[in-house]
Amino acid sequence: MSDSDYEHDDEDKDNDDDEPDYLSDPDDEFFDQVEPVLKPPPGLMAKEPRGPMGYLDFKFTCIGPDELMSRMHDIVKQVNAIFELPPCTTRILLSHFNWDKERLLERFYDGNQEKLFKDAHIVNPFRQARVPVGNSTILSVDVICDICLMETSHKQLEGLECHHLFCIDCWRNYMRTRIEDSGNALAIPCPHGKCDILVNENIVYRVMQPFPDVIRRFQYLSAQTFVQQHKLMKWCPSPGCTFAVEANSTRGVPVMCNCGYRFCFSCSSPAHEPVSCKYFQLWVKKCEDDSETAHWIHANTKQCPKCKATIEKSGGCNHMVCRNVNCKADFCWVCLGPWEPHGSSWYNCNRYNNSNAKVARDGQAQHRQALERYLFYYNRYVNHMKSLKFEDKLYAQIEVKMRDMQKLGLAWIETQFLKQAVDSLCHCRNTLMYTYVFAFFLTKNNHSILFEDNQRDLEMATETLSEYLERDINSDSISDTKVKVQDKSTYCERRRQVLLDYVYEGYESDIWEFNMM
Amino acid sequence: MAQIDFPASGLSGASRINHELKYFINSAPAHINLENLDDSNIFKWTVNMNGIQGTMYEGEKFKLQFEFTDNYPQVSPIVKFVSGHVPVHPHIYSNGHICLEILYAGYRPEMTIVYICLCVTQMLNKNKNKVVPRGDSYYSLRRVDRNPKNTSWIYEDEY
Ligand SMILES: [Zn+2]
Ligand SMILES: [Zn+2]
Ligand SMILES: [Zn+2]
Ligand SMILES: [Zn+2]
Ligand SMILES: [Zn+2]
Ligand SMILES: [Zn+2]
Ligand SMILES: [Zn+2]
Repeated sequence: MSDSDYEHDDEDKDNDDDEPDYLSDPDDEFFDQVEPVLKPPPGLMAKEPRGPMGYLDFKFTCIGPDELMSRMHDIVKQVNAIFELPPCTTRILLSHFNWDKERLLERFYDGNQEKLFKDAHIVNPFRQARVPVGNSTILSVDVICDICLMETSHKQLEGLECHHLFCIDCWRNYMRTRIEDSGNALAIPCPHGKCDILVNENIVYRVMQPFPDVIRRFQYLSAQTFVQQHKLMKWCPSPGCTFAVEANSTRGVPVMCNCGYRFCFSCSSPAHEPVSCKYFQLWVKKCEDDSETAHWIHANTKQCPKCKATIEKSGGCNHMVCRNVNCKADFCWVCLGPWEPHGSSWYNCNRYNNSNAKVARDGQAQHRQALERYLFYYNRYVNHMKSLKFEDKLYAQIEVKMRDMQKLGLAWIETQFLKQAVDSLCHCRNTLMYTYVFAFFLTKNNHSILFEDNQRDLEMATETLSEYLERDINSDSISDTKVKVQDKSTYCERRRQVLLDYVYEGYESDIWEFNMM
Repeated sequence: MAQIDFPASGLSGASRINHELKYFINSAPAHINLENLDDSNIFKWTVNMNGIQGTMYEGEKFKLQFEFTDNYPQVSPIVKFVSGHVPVHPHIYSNGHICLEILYAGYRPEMTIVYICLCVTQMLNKNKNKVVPRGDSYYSLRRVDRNPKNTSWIYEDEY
């Protein structure tokens, strides 16, 4: 994320030690005169002109578990540079606004501040009577703590700015209970029955100082809550991963975590570009509902269209060569048509043929046609998904190849192009997979035909790369291999980008028409 | 998570309950009184509650039960009416479970037994419509769990 988003970075005041004098004066009338701090600094609220954010403006960054707390403190600091409030108060305010600092600033300067503090469950910091809590020397008599109902020395009392004081042992028990049981460390109320003021981090650190385990748990929960509340942050959904991703908008576009997992920033599902979250979910639902009917067609074996020998698919490449030595037919696994046109300009495997469907319709019921249409797309979707699974094997093969190359004198770094090529292949297959979901819901028009052209180009490029990596790589010299692999994978990436640009620009100019099916 | 030794002496549930017991016997409001408390088990109280004059519950008698744990008052007691002695109220189920926020999510350790009794009383006093809650027979019959704290409550009104 660019720093320009947060322009108040540099100012870094610690307001805790540096409270303005007038804050300690409990006289209300005095406050009414001293309102300067409530006015926004000049220029602050002037909003930058912002057009609709395009998909190319989308930016994200991955945040490790150790950086989360400092990320949270950064936001507190940025706001504090303007507010001059104690950081623990600002943190509760920010949490109340789901860490949207613009909205907080707006409410702070435009609205009723008394109500703002009330809604956020904090004592108005401008109206606090600052009797130091916890180390009072004024009173030395014993008082009754309202929780344990025991006599306590006044020195042992602790409390929030609402001045509901309880003995430190009761506070410790209370916080331990709440911090261990609660999912939200930023929403623990004062123990007083009629008070909704929230416990702030200062009192937690002060009171729980002898119990580092509880403090650690408090910090852990604070970070959890922070990511959950922050609209522009998401946990990486990969099991066991502790990274979070922060982005500059909530768009449904894929992000990649440092752990390597790619997921949709909006719905946290596995990356599903170019199809939108809505149609992705619809598709998942449909596949679940229709899985019975769909399964029969997707057995892992097929018959050679020429000699009828049983063929089992063992790699991701769709170019099948019959193992029957007397046949050796080349054909396409997906459409069972001859392979030859798949490498040329009359490639047609990706296009659902409506005229064929028309013939089918003549004698058959309508739902049969719908099923056929669905299976057409489903078949291609599943096929890329399966190929994607086979690419694990390809990674292993490539690893061997890379080691061979290193034995021949190439540096490790010089062999990385192979791994990158498999990465590209996987990205392309993943995108292709979801182009069939996109196409399934898409209504046919001039744009959809152009889309299918793009899809065809990407598919051809991907199959060429796949075939080369899986089969022909061993027949070339190292230098030839490098040139070919790099050419083919660059071309694939370019085709993928062209397709994605076309789809996303289409979303922005509203050219796609979808059918809910 | 490693267990930390917490200051427990004098803070156990029994200590606070004993304090409250003294207070309850000496200064509880007239419409509530404590039923024969078993000295060997001060963790279970039954409070007799009389309907307040001038309310819909005038002349009626109810029994409110409190069950405490050793974590009391940090952890809320289980509070419910004893079946057979349950007021008819739109937020009180006939199995004795009470839909009142302070008994669950809104509970705080500073609340005393007397305070909880007064909140329940106020809930009765304010009522103008003596009906059982919607879905009462469903909830009361199927609710095998006798602990109302295990129910996810939605609070409709403030009392
Ligand atoms: Zn308070
Ligand atoms: Zn105490
Ligand atoms: Zn991850
Ligand atoms: Zn999504
Ligand atoms: Zn064959
Ligand atoms: Zn084909
Ligand atoms: Zn209710």
